[in-house]
Amino acid sequence: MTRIFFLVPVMALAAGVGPAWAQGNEMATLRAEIAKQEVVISQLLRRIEALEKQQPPSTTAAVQDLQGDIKAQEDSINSLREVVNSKVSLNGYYNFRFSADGSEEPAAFQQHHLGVIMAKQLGKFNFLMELELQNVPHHPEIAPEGGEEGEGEAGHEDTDLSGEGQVAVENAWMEYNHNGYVGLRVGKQLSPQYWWQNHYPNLTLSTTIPIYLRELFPAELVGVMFQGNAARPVGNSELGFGYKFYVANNNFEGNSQSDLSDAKSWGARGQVRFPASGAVRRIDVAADIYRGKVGLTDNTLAEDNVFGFESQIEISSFLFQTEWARGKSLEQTRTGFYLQPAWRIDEDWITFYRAEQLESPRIQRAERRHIVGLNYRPYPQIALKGELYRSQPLERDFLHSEEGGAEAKPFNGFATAAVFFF
Amino acid sequence: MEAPSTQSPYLVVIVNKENPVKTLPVAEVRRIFMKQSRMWSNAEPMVPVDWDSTAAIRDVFSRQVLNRSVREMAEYWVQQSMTQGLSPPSTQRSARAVLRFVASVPGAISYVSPGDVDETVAVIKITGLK
Repeated sequence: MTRIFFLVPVMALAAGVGPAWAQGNEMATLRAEIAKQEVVISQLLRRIEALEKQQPPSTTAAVQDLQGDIKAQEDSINSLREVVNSKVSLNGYYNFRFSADGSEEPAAFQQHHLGVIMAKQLGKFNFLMELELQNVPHHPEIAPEGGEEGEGEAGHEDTDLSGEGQVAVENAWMEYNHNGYVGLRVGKQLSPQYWWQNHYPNLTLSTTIPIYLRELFPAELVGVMFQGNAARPVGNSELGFGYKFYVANNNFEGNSQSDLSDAKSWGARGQVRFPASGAVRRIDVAADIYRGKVGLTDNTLAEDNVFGFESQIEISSFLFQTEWARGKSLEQTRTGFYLQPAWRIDEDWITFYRAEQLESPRIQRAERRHIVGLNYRPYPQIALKGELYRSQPLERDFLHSEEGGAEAKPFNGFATAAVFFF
Repeated sequence: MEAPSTQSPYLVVIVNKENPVKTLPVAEVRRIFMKQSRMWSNAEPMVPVDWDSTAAIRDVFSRQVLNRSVREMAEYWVQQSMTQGLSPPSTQRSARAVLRFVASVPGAISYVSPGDVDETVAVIKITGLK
């Protein structure tokens, strides 16, 4: 059986499954190398069989050595195969959440997110696709009759009362990395700010995203992004610089295949990684700018300019993250930020505090929120989270405009979540 | 001021004998094992090879070179899998297997104890190692 396993990739290569663009000489060399190593594996397998027939205890170590050799040979063949064929990696995440607070929203269990990520590397090319099920759709047999158009209360974008849920392609991009300095990524991709890039439930400490996040930089972009980085060694660390520049469709629902204007949105990001040594393990700072248009309810566009700053600092077992952004659209300015210090108590436990704020005339919301939480991570792939939070409405002039809604009141809440990465 | 050493007494970094590289800064070794650098100067793809997560030498390498514990590196690879689609380096369980892998794959790079090195691989100097 083991032999068959080894032979399959070799036969596949011999049958010419390799990509058309690969150079003939290189392919021939790789095939010859794989064939040569397959012979070595066959010889090792024969030796193992011979040793196993003899069975004296003294041969146990030798058999283990040979089994290690076979794994090394198998891995080296797989590595060579990756040069020719590559392979698809399949990952995903699962997030189940419960929250209860003093707001008007009822306490609820939430089958919140279920995501599948497929990726493939081929030489200098990369591809990644992420399919995400948000508020997982009900099976049709138990969905409400006749369907419902509602998507929950306005202002509670995480709530879906329809039972339909949402299936979204959050990422679908391919990239070409010419070298470290220059690369090009095309397709649908997350905005380059830290939280958007790392918003996955395994990677965040809280069960929720910062309240300002959806109100400033667009979450995703559909377009092309140039990116690269350079680093200079400093002691046992390095001073690194990174950049991203992108041109994309304007920000409105349905922008994955059309736009409402010939003028595209654009954005840029510059990042510096300072040398870190000793207890200081990481000092990253970055600045972002976005210039584009945002879709209004009547399908017209309004200018939207956003800029922001962020930093991630890691000193010993302390982590500090912060992001701040300001946007201006229709002569209204909106701002938001979060500050999140965290302490890694030991390998499995992390505690954190997050202060965050949003002031947005366009959605008539001014709120400050404090979150204190604890993460238990028995494995890198599993996170069990619990947190307490307090929401405080802020007094702002724009809240007293004619469109102003009901007066907001402070409330306390509790949330917990279980996350599994696979 | 004391000059940074070029080798750890606990491990040496090895590459395939066809690799022309003789010296690397420790920051570049870190980038290779974190898959932030991809190609050697001779256009071969870089193929980092790690040890099994329970190996003592893996712990030393993680802390000395990668500046992270083995557990923290596992978390790093969860993050990279989700955001970049990258997989961690393949792993081996013995010096013999590591040597065999590195000797077989032109772009391979790994590490072993100094006493385990043989003539099938080339040792490179690491600068900036504390």
